[in-house]
Amino acid sequence: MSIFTRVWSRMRAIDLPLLIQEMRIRQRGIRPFTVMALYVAVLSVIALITLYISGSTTNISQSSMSDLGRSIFTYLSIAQLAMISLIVPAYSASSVSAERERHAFELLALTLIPSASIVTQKLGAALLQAMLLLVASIPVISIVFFFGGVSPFEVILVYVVLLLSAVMYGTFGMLCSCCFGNTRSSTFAAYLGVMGFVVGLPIIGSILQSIFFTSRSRGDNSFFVTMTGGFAFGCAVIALVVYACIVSPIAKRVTERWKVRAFRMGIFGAVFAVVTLTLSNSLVTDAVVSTLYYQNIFLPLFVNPFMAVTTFLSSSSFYSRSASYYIASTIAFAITCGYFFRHLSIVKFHALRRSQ
Amino acid sequence: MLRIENLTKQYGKLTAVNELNLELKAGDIMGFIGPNGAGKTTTIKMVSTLLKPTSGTVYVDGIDVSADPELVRPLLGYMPDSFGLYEDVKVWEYLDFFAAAYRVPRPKRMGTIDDILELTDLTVKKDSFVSDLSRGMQQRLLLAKTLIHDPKLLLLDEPASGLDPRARIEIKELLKELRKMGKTILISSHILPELADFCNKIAVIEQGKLVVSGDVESIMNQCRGGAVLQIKLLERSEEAVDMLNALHAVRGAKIDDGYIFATYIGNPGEEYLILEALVRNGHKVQSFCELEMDLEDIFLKVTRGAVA
Repeated sequence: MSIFTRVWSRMRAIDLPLLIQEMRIRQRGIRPFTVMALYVAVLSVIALITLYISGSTTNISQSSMSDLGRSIFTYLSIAQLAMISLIVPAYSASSVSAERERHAFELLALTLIPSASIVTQKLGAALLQAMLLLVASIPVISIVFFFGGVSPFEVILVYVVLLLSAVMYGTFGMLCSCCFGNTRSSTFAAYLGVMGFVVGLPIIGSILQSIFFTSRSRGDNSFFVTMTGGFAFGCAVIALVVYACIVSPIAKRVTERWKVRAFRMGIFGAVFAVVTLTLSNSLVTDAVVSTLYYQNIFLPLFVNPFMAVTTFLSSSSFYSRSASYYIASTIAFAITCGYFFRHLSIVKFHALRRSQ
Repeated sequence: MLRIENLTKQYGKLTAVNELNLELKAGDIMGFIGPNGAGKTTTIKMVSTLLKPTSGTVYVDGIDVSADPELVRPLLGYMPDSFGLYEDVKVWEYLDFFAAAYRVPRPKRMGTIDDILELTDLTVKKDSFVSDLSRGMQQRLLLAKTLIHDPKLLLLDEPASGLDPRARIEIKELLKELRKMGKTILISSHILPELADFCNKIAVIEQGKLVVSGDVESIMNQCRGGAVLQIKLLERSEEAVDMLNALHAVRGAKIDDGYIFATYIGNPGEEYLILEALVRNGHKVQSFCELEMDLEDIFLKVTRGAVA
């Protein structure tokens, strides 16, 4: 048997009943078609408006056409991010709460599908639906190639950021869905969380930035040291509390698998604590502060996909160091948050499964 | 198959289930009876691993439910009292999902679904949407889902509630089929005459406490305390009541709605002596029969109508 046959037969053996069921339920009726049509229509309208406004004021030269292409792509990317931020939490925030509302949760809880698989399959269904929207947007986005100014690599990178943002918001929606008994509350909480990510973090960051650079101008890094030290301490405490209160009682009662999860959770918090403690070291702090200061990097942009994409696309060269930092840190943050929220969702779902 | 030992569930100060003890052998069908709020659903949920008991232990096929819920789940078929249906899926898709979720091997899955649909008389509705089914059909589908992985123990919580008489009869026939298949069933219901036909055991619960449990026959004999005779005379009923009350074999004869009801405590099979005595005294007897005792009578006799 060839390796391909073996891989194919193994793939055929994978059973994902919940993913299939969710996709069936989600894709039936007029709603998914309407959402997709509206999504593409909004993007088309934005592209046309940008084309109309910018086109009437620019000359037809190669460089201006490139600028036009780049600005259309920037607006479309931001619009996609905004729509993904609105749509994905709504998709995932109903995943578990809707089961409880339609009295199907008990039946699901009694199946032999492990909690981690239930959460992952439900999340997968919500994200696949978001991916459908992203795929549907490709024909609209591709008009930028008529004008130039955007490389295929940049388009792919922006789509990666879009997808990972969907993962981050989707997993947060899933966590809310596990925490709240009804879809209305979980959706509200999910939107509140996304608002926090999109608006709250930059506001907090801006406040810290102003204090931080004021201190820096006086040659004083004590605030930064205190902040990172405090953050490290906080991470360690949170890791410990999470381990003690949520994971370890389950690990005691259930299986080895949960002990492994608890161990991973502890490692996760510990790595965070070590990294931030290292950052709080005065030598490291000085180096980081110097980099931020001389590269003119705005602190809150580190984890915000909106600002990262805007900065990335408005910078003259992709190889601009600050733009690369923004994209890399945003991707890293989205992956970390996605992992963390998924893990918490599994823990919460498992607890819910045993205490209806 | 099922052993419940000192099972207790408390919600704050409220004790929903109090020191409950039950035992079901393989093939037993137990009717779990009690007024609303008595603790039936809470008990069934604890057996089904959905609720953690405050204290006590439940064993299914010798496995401790609290210690090893994952091992117990394949043995259980739980049918809740509320509908747990996905309405935007077809009947076969609904069953296919649960078959996969209970790890029914893929090659066997469609065959199993066809068999279950035939058993529940839903074959013609295989490609219909769940939302298009009548309430009775949806309930049968829920039962089909419960049977999909061939569980050893069925926990049926009010399977006939909210159904019209025809749908209730259909569910009842289905349950009789399950009895023939040798399934062990714990079934709670308010509609007691339906349980009487196919349960060999009953357990009555009130305010979270087990009032009575055991074989239907022995509980009936225990509760009966004597056969009730229903007598209709053409005239002089009051005089006949006085005469009956004077007999040693009769206790507490009274007139109700033109009939005489007398509790016979004499030797079984000698009720005809009462009829002879009445005729001998010149009473014109229009009808004379022994009233059958059913689950409703037992239920009313052993419970006080209180809730937990």
